[in-house]
Amino acid sequence: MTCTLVNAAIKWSIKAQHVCWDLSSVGFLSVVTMLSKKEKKLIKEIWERLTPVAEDIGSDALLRMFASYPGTKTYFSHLDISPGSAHLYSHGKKIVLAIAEGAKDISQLTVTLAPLQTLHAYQLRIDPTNFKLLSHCMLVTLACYLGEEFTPVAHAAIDKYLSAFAAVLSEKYR
Amino acid sequence: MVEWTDAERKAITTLWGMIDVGEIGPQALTRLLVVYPWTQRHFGSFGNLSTYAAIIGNAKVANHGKTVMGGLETAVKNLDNIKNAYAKLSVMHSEKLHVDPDNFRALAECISVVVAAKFGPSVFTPGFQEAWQKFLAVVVSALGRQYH
Repeated sequence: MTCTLVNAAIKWSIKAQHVCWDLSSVGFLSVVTMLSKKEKKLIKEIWERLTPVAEDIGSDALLRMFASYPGTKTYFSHLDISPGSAHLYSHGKKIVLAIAEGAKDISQLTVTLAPLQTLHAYQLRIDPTNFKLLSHCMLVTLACYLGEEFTPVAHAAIDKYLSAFAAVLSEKYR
Repeated sequence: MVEWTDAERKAITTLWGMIDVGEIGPQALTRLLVVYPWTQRHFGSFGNLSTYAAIIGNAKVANHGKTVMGGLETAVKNLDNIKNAYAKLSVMHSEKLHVDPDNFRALAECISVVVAAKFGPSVFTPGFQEAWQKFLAVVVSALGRQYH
């Protein structure tokens, strides 16, 4: 009886491992396959262009997120997140640089983001719903700063990239 | 009932005063169809939507975009009674058109992006964005209210 139970448990855990493995590969595969070559190039170019103004773009997106979704401020209680603060700029810069770094070679996104995956899943434990809120605010910031250059095609490509980025960041959560 | 601060009321009416529905509406609907292509399921009667060029050049998309954006006028004029103002439109979208209400949220996001691209960071500030998105969220909720 015990033996059967143990066997069942082992079988289940092997199955569970397979399930986990399958799930973790979904994010990676989707990143690689859902973007065309043209889109990958466009995404890379846009983020390269924004790298020199990473501070401004990142802090603007964060401010927009805090204003529209005040619940997101709870994760930053240890920082001064008022407009123009040093923390806001440095954290905004960090975010944009990570997004730009990932955009350099999207096929390697899970590798590039591995340290950030661990950080978000095990240390920061940020509810992954928030990634979507920041993504939307980032899109609004890009629209503000790029104006007409932020075409529907660019919008679609960046939206897909940011959702892939968020999916990879959420992979380690469970 | 939704509560609005004076700053929110001012931001919404100011922004609305600057918006040309014939410009923003078609652009927003175009983005909805390009960025979230599954929304095309509701526009089978619009003809060719298969490529970006086809969507941009589709007169029915432009017309409907203008109509939808113009429909926000009702909400701007009835800020304190948005739910009742949209009761009929909500019934139509649920019972006749069978539109998944999540599509309204996606369109609202596209409208915000188009407005941001049009007016830039000096007008569409974080404060204006907060007020504008709250406004759109109330409209979206009103449109989904008659679903059961």
